[in-house]
Amino acid sequence: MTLKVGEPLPLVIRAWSSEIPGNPVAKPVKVKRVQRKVPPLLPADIHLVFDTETTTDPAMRCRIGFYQLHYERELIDERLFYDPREAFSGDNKTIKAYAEARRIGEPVTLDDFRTLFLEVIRAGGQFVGLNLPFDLSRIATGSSPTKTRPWNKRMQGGHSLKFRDSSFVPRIQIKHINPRLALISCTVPSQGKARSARKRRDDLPAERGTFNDVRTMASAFLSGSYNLERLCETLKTKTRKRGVEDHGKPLTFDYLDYARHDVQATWDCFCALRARYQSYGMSAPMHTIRSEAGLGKAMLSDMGIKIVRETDPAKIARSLHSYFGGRTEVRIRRVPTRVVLTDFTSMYPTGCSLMGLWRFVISTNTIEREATDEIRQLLAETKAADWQSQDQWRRLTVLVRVKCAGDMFPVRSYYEGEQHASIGLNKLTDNERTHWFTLADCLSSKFQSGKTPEVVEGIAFEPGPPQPNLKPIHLLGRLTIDPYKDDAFRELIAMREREKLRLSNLAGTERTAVEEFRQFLKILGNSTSYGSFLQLNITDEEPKVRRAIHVHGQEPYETLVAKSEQPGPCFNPLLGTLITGAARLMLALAQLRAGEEELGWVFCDTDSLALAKPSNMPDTEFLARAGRVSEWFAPLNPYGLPDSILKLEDVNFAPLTKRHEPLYCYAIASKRYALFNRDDQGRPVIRKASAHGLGHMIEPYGDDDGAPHFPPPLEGLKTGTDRLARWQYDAWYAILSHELSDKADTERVRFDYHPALLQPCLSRFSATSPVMLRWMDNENDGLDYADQVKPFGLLYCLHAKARAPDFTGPDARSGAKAKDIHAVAPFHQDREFAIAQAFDRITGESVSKDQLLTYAEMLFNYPIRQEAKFENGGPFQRGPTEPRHVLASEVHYIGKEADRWQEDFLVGAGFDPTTQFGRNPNEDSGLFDAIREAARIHGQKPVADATGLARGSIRRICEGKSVRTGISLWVIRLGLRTLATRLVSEPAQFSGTIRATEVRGLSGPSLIKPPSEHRQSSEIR
Amino acid sequence: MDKIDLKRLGRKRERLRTQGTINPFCCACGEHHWAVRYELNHILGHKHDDRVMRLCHSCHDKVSEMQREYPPIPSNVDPVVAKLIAITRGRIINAKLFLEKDEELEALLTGRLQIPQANGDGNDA
Repeated sequence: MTLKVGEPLPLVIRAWSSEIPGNPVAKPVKVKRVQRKVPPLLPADIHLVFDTETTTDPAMRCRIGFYQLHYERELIDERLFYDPREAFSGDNKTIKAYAEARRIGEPVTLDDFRTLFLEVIRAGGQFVGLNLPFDLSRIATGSSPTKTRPWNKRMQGGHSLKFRDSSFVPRIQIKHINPRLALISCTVPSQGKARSARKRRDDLPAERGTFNDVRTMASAFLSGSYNLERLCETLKTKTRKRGVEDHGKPLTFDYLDYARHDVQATWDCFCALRARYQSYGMSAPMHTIRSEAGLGKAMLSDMGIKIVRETDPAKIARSLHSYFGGRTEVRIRRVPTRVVLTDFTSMYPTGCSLMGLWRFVISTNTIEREATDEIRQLLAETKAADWQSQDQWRRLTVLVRVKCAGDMFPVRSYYEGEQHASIGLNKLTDNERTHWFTLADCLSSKFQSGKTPEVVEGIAFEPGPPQPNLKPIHLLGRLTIDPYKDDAFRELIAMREREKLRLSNLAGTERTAVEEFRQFLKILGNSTSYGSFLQLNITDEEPKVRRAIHVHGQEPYETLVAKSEQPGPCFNPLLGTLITGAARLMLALAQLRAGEEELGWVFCDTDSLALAKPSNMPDTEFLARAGRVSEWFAPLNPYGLPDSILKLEDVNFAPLTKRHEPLYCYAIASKRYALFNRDDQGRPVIRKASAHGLGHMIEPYGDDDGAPHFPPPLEGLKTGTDRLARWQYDAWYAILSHELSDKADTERVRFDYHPALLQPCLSRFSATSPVMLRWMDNENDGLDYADQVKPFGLLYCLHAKARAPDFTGPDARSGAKAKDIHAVAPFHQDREFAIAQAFDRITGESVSKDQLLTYAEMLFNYPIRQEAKFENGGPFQRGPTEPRHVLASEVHYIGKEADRWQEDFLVGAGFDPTTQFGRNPNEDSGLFDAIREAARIHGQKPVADATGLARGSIRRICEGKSVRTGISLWVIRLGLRTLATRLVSEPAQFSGTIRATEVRGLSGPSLIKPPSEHRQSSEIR
Repeated sequence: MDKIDLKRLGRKRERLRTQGTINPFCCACGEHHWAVRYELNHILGHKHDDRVMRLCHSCHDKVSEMQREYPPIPSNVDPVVAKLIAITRGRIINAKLFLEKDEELEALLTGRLQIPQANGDGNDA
């Protein structure tokens, strides 16, 4: 027997979790009368827009605020509210004088504002603000974690704010989802229903309140992240945000004007976004649109489309098994390379259009048929040139089960040194299992490696008949889509491309209108073509709950999970995996064509590819060949236009002259790269750079205080989607200057060009969950709510140096590893003061400044960040990376991948952002018997030697007892196989002795249990 | 700036929330003030049909009273026949109720009854 040579790593595969069938169902309540289901009312046309200004200490107490009350689109009240306890001497007078001078209503206290707030809730009004969770927590009188109840799952893990000490008054629950979205809802207080309604048991909808966070709306309708200043600029509102420096000082008219203008600017932004949404012509109430995906779902709903959901957990698991996100890789690492940056037009809608996935979206069901022989033949005979035909792509609605033997596939694993599983296109060998991939991935594998994967099974999918009663929609009165006749994916992007051609002839408001329309079409196209199909809503479960984990081809197993997943309304993982597979095939074809033109590539990022010039090729030749690579994709344009779908990006051309300007790329790791030109002296002129890995740090210095000897950034980097903060630009400039100098190989990049970089590095985050707020328990102990660090209050995370092992202390003999410091500090406007308050959130001990990493130290390793997914991706290595050859040692199952990676990074390994399902114990159940049998045949000592287990462990196993071991189960199986092969004539061949300590992958104890201790699969049936 | 009475709007909202509509009205007499208590009347009897119509409480009381004028349907009657009886009774009752209002409307239109003056203090749904 010959074992494949490879690097043993655990595979990480998506699985599907469901409630365990057969659980006892609660007894249904006997209802004497028929329950009347009452439809909910739309929010009333009452709007309360408000904003608070706070103190500058960690508690960030509300000092003053402004509100406007609008009724039926008319401003009927505008006032200032204040907390009398926070007044400086003279503030009360200033407030009264200000109200008189500005002719607004008489100021009211914070408590009066709370009364108004509760009245607006009762009247069904709406609340408008920017960053509402923060402002709501400032005006609350207390908070607690939301209760974990079966009816409250959606808000589990959030904060519950109270405004009155009465159980008859609703509380506000806030669940943070991501930096741009929080779910905000009122609770239903006791006596929420009238007595008659309670007697009748009417199913009355509760008054949950309507909270319009302008930041969320902006993210949904404009795509991207906005603060008030940037939003006002984008929407060109009448009122703009002002700057002010007087926080924490006695009130002045200037300061009050600033606060008042903030409210007016917020209202103007809300009105502009509302007008924009109303122009779309969608029927979904605006407050229900919380993200870009919400717009897509609203469009489908207006057409009457209900996405068909698969109910068989095994089939869902099959689709998820084959699912991988977009490819993000670096091929030429840490070498400045001349490139042409290309980008696929609307990659996901294009893929959907080519595969004809709209037919599936409108179908009543999905039909599957066995197609193994057909797929084998296709894979054996197909060539890359065949896939220039649009018709061919319709055949890609296929999933294939493959026996991997060195084939190039996306491999999700814990690559060396990584805390999270990442995906890299590598060679995969698995001698024990088969794996599901899309046909597109199989084709990519064949074209990239030249080897046809061994197909075990192929399932082709076809759409069933279309759903009845679907309706056409009219978007902005300009685009009509009939779901029966038109492919919505194609129509949206085709219209967008046609509008682009008009742009050059337009100016002023007409041009703005077209740009807005195009942006709307882009958001709609992207949101309907991918995200919604894979939406899973995650609920934190405390305590953990037992779920059945489904893996295709195996019996489901039970495990305790910390998060449960509920599918979104459009959840269809089959469509999701087909779409990303097609995108990877596009990239693979582009790379193949580049190779045929003797071009390399530096990086790819889902839909973009940087083609690399070989060092000996003239520039004109390079451009010509890059052009041919692009033209190859012209026949695949599904939008009725002659252009190629693989376009050259604007960054390839000079900003002013629009002439081709030689572009260079320096890539460090996935999503960490910079694109630059070179000036007459050969210095880099940065055109685009990623802030990946830098965005979590607070800026050490402002945009107007850049590094003294560095040239200022181009205008294009100061605003817009490519915006880079000055300090990030300076960091990249330092890296690029160093790499272009003759010291690149002899010295490391120095980040001492600005004194602010020698200060401790701070990351700012807010206490978005009760778990994070608990870190401040020591600070909050004994204080009133007003003086505590509150929910959504700002905190600082500091980065501590690794502790040296302690050879003399009490832990020296035990060899215990020195524990890392997890330094946090309460917010303070004065950073030095905040740093002085730093403490370890685990032990509570204070942390001194010299224990903290500076910005320069944090940045020191940034230029050498490894690309662990590939060979030659080590920190100090340069040049081309190579695919690894991964030998699957074992399989770990996960749910939805990291949705809180930022929190995880900031707070250390306290969070696990990925939903973990662990290993399938059924896979290990045969091991116990195998060890006993081997011990019976060969004896205990040979088994111990072969597997690495202690003899005592072998003895325990022979006695029928469980054993806990740190040795990988894969190594144990390998050892047993070795012993078995010694009995046959062909000896096993290795690439060397594999010792347990050399096996990379997850460490941690494994439990070898007798079969009787495994949960029987019949319990799960 | 005109003031609004938020407390009143809150009461109104609470009333309308139980109705599930911001424009409740009585199908018999046309009453549409938000503060009026409306109820859902099963047109053909709740045992026989789910369809309802909204009536103000006074019209619903009249309907209930008219229903009491009929004797209960004996239990030994064939269920199909029982349903037909209930349907017929329901239609008779509704017709009587609407006829009352139609007679009033006819009297207003022919002048036999004076049209009441609008007082400006009424519904603001």
